[in-house]
Amino acid sequence: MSQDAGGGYDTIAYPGPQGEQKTLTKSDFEKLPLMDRIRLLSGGQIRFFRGSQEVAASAAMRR
Amino acid sequence: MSDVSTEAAVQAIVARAEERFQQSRQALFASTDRLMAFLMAGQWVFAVALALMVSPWAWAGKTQTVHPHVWAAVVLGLVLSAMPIALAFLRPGWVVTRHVIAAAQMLWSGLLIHLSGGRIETHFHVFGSLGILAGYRDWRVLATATVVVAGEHFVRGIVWPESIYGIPNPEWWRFLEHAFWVVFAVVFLGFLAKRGKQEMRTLAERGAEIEALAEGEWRKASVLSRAAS
Repeated sequence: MSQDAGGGYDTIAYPGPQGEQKTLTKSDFEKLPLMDRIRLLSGGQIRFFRGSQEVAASAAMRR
Repeated sequence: MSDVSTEAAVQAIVARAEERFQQSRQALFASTDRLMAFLMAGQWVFAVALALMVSPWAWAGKTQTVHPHVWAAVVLGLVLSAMPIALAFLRPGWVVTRHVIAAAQMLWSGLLIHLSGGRIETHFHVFGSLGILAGYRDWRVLATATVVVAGEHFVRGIVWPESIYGIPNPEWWRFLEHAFWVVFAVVFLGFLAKRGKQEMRTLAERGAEIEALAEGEWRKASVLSRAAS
């Protein structure tokens, strides 16, 4: 997992109701209502990617 | 971890974000109210000084009296400033306070224009004031200011045109020309105010996202530790 100090992310991935992997671009994620974003983030299963590389949540949120 | 407790945590985080947003809005309103109170006091001092420097005396034959402008600056200035200053210190952040301040500030423009004999340059005070009022990041405050300044120009343009335009017989639609430029400024200031408010909300939501992320990490760690034991 990259710890790039630059921060930010392009896409997120999270498990759907049937366990399938779902993805959202950063801009689509930011358009979600706050309640939905908080549900995803507090679920503990969200993963952040910059390009194809996974980044730590702490680095991802350092936009 | 049950779905019920997860949902309760989500609701609590969202509620705290809204609370943070409202608190920062209130803090902005209250601090802007106090800033405006100092401006109100400063304008009063300035208006009295202006009247004393420009037209301290009136003459009726050989009789010298205090010019009405001096009384206007002292009395009207006090009337215009007293209520906003009192509200700013007694009820900072109250919705009525900022609307009273906006109305008073526009009436201050009118008084200063009158004291300067309707000088067109003093009309710049209107636009400066609108810019300062935009600091509330509330378009309704700008709407109040617009209605007051347009109404004041309209009435004084009919009753006493020299005091607002510096000439005795301006076109009847002159107030509309002034109002147009005020609306021009207010449309953009209102847009910026709305954007500023949105930025405050985004900041509050950013805090909630970080809080949720920490909650998620804690949840993940709990699951791992249960699996290990």
